[in-house]
Amino acid sequence: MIKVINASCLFRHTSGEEVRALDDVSLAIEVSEFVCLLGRSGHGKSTLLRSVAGLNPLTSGRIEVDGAVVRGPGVERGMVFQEDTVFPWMTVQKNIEFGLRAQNRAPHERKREAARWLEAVGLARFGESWPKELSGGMRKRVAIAAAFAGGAPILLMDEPFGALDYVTRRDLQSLLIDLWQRTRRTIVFVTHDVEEALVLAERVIVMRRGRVADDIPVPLARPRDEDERASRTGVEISKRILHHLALETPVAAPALT
Amino acid sequence: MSATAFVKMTVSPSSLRISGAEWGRQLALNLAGVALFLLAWQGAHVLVGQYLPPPAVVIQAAYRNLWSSPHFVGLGLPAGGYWPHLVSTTGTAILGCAIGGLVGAASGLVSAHSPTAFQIARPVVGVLGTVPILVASPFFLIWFGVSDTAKIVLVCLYSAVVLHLYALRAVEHLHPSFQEYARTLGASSRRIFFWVSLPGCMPELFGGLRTALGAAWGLAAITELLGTDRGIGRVIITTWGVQDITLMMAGLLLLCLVALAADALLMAARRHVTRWMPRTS
Amino acid sequence: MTTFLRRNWISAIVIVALIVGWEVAGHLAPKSPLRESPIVPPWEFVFGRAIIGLSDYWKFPFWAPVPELGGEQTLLGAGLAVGYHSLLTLYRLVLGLLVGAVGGVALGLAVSRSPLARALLGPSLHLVRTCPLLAMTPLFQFWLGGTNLAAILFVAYGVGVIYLVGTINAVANVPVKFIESALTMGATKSMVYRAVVLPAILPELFSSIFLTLGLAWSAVIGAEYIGVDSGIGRMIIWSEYFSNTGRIAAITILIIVYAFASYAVCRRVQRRMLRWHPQADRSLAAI
Repeated sequence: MIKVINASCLFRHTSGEEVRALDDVSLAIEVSEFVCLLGRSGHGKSTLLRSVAGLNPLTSGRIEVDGAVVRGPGVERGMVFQEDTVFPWMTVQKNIEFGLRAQNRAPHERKREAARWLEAVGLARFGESWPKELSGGMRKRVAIAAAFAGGAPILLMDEPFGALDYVTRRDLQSLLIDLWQRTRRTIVFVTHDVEEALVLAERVIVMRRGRVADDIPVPLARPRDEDERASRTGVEISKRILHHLALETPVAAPALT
Repeated sequence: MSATAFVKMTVSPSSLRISGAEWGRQLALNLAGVALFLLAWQGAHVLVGQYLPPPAVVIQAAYRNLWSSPHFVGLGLPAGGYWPHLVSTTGTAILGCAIGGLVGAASGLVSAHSPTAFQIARPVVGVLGTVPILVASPFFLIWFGVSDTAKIVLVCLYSAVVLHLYALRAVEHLHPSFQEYARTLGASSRRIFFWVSLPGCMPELFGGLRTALGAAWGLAAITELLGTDRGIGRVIITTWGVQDITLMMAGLLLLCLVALAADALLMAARRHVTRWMPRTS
Repeated sequence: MTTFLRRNWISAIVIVALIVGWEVAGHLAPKSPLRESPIVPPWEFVFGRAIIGLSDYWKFPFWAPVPELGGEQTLLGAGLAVGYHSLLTLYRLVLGLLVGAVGGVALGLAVSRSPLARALLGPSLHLVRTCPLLAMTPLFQFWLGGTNLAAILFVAYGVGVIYLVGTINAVANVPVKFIESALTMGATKSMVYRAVVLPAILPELFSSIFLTLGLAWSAVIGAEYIGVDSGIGRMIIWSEYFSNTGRIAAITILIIVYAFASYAVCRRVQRRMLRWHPQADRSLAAI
């Protein structure tokens, strides 16, 4: 269980101006939950996630994972980044083994685990490939497999599918839900895409100006196909989220040629 | 010195750019760094004694013998202290770099755009880029005599090869979509070259110029070591001949300072010419 | 070979033209008063008189006659001289490169661990890097004498400075995302260095290898010009002393062959060690 208690985080811009990336945030995430953090860019969702990961120190407040205060990265919290973080100098197999190697596991155990997760993400034949030989979507699968293989009960995902094309993104969303249902790990997933949140989340936390603006349960049935998301509940949730994102409405303006 | 090698070097920011608020701290750290260097030098002097004169003595020797020097006359060097030698070496390095750089950049840019030119230049650059130019210096001394020409031609040749290779690589790295975009806006080939390709290549051309200039000092000096009548290299080899380590190190120090100043000027020029570039921090 | 010629016929013509041009220049150039010192030595001179003349530099009283002691100039002596001095130069070159590379990278990694150390060392490194290496040849000679050790340390110093600066720069340029990713997978600091930082800086270190290879050739020849009295560089100086231009040309050709070979070896090693690199196939085929 993750507990965020009165977390605040101040950044000083190079111009000298102070930015409050997190403003007294408190929330709790239960074991095996799939939570999406959603908001406009620059409104604190990534900062919150990185703070939970231990990559970003808080100015005040604290974060507890199973009662222990977070002071840095730990093996119980895995992370998948938006950027391509698969190490290009290691084969796919070695990439997936990395977390286990960090935990000093025996070679045969690492091999077995890596094979299991390669299979699970559909890359069984690519263990000996170099990352440069894979497509962007396949490398993302490697990153996910590496995070799961590390054995962390909590997985933090920072817009992992943000740079992918639509079809690949949908494939990976299905894969992720499948893995989540089979492993019941806790997943905290940052996104700015309302549709993605509706497809994935059990619960959507909307961030605005460094605060929690809303906390919305998503009681939709799975699989969350087009029909399910277009149901009354689905549409209502999506409207409620969009309301917080405060989209600009176009005003009448003179024509441009 | 072999030139092909330099081109493999990635252009990386030599120092991290720091914003205004950090500037004071950075300056303090730099001053502390200089102090540390002098301290280490002094410490080394205490350890090895007369083989390494302390910084104060060397700096004093450089200063006292800068304009005129009784020592130099005694050693058979032209009168007038370090100054005329510094001017001679600086002139060689900068003139050689300027001529060679222009020729090399031009030939590189042309080679990048014309396969025929590329084919013509390749064997020449291949040989000149691989052979340590130093080896060729005796020939230059024979052909051009003990004169400034030999030194300048040597520096020139080296700079031309470096700039040629950097220019080739710069064009290769330039994303073709810029040129295509300019073409869709109706620009002529000539304008595309002067308005798009050339500015786009500037950062790497400056990288090449920096490499060439950095090496030019050493090349000029070693040619002078081998046999010319003027230049800081001549002073260094002459003082070495009489085992006067203080005067030798003073000459080296002055050469370093001039090289540092020239490098700083070049970097300032680069900052101005490529001020559109995003700064990494 | 034929496809090579068909694709690069212009380069081939240029090469032939250069060779022929040199020969023509050799015959057109003003006659030098000294028989051994043509202003532009023609090829038949370089590969004839000049090569045999290299036997002057064989100085051991066995295996071949020693011209210095009144012996005859022989092709065997020339071969022995070239082999002996080449071995010495290569030995200094390789050892200097190794010592410089290992020392520079190790020091660079150590300095990179502390931002304060990096900032404090900055000005010294800048000064040391700007100071022209070749102009320092007499300094090393003065400190260490005309010994093998002096030549090796001179090469190591020149190479080491480049690796030191290169390593510090490369470590600063390692994408933070890789380090963060490794940390979230539970890697310790030393594992991050071993498994992430070291391989990540390898491409940049390899670009330094080509740079330092050229520098090392210059440094070792420079050291032999002025310091230690053996090796290829010293053969050039001996030849220059008597204006044996033909011999200088022959030795220059020898150095070109060695330099090309050493680049080829480095490229092979690089290709092998960086085969994971996305641009491995493209950038390595440059020359």
